[in-house]
Amino acid sequence: MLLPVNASMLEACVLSVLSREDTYGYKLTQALTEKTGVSESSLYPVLRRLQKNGALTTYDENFSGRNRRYYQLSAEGRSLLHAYRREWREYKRSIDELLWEEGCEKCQPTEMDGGDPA
Amino acid sequence: MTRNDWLAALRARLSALPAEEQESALRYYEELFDEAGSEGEALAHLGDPARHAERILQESGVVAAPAAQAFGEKPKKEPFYRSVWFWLCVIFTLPFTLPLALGLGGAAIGVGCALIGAVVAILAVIASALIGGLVLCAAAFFFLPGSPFAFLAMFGGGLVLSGLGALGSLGIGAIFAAIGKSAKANRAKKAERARQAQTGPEGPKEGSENA
Repeated sequence: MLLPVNASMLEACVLSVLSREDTYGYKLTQALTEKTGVSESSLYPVLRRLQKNGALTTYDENFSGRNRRYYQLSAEGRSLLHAYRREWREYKRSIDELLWEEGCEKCQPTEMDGGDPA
Repeated sequence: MTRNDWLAALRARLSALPAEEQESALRYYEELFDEAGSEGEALAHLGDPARHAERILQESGVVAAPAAQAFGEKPKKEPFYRSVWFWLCVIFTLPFTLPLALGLGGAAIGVGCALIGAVVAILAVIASALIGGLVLCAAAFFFLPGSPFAFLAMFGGGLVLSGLGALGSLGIGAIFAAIGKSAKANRAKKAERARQAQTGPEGPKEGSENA
């Protein structure tokens, strides 16, 4: 991957996935490694850190004879997610401005850039 | 490698962490194995347990994250005798080492003095035998007019004594001569070696070719 996802972005992604529904480790790992290209070894440390910060809690649920540990977003996790989303929007806008500067002929997105980002 | 091997390897590498942290991580990875389609698939997906352990240890601050590690330049290793530890050791063992050092020094001085004393005593005995024998011979003449036998006994004793002294001084002289000779030989050998070192090993070879 040309632009690797850093720790904070991965944290934001975990929070966002959990904001939709409570999820267990395996499914979370599958969803995130597929979309972001991070290695499996990156995920547990992020989950543990969020858990320690109180951004998410866990509960165990029985599934065909074994326990599944579900991760659930706390109120703090939700506000952290909103902070991340705001931050991301800002970040994305400034990077877009640099990559496709308005009013600059040479900077207009072409087919080679994958078309118009908007 | 089996699932159990993998988990055991992970646990072994996390041994620096509190038990609670180890359990939490193990539990997470056990669940991944449980949920995966097959053990082999999970193993292939996860890869090396060391990599996972490394990330967990970095997160918990047990090992430095790669970014925080300095590049290149290893810290120079100071010799031990210049380290603070060495001098601390010296200072704190001083109550034991100082008396020991003083005692050994004193013993060495004592032995040296005893040797000198022994040499001086031997010389004194020889000198006194020599001088005493001669004095006895001279003193014997006082008895010559009265009792010739006493004169003979004293004169003979004096001769024996001075003879022993002479023998002793000859022995000492021989010993000193031997010491002097060996010292001279040593000096000569040293000078010879120095000369050879100056001229180099080629010197004698050239000489033999000319001849």
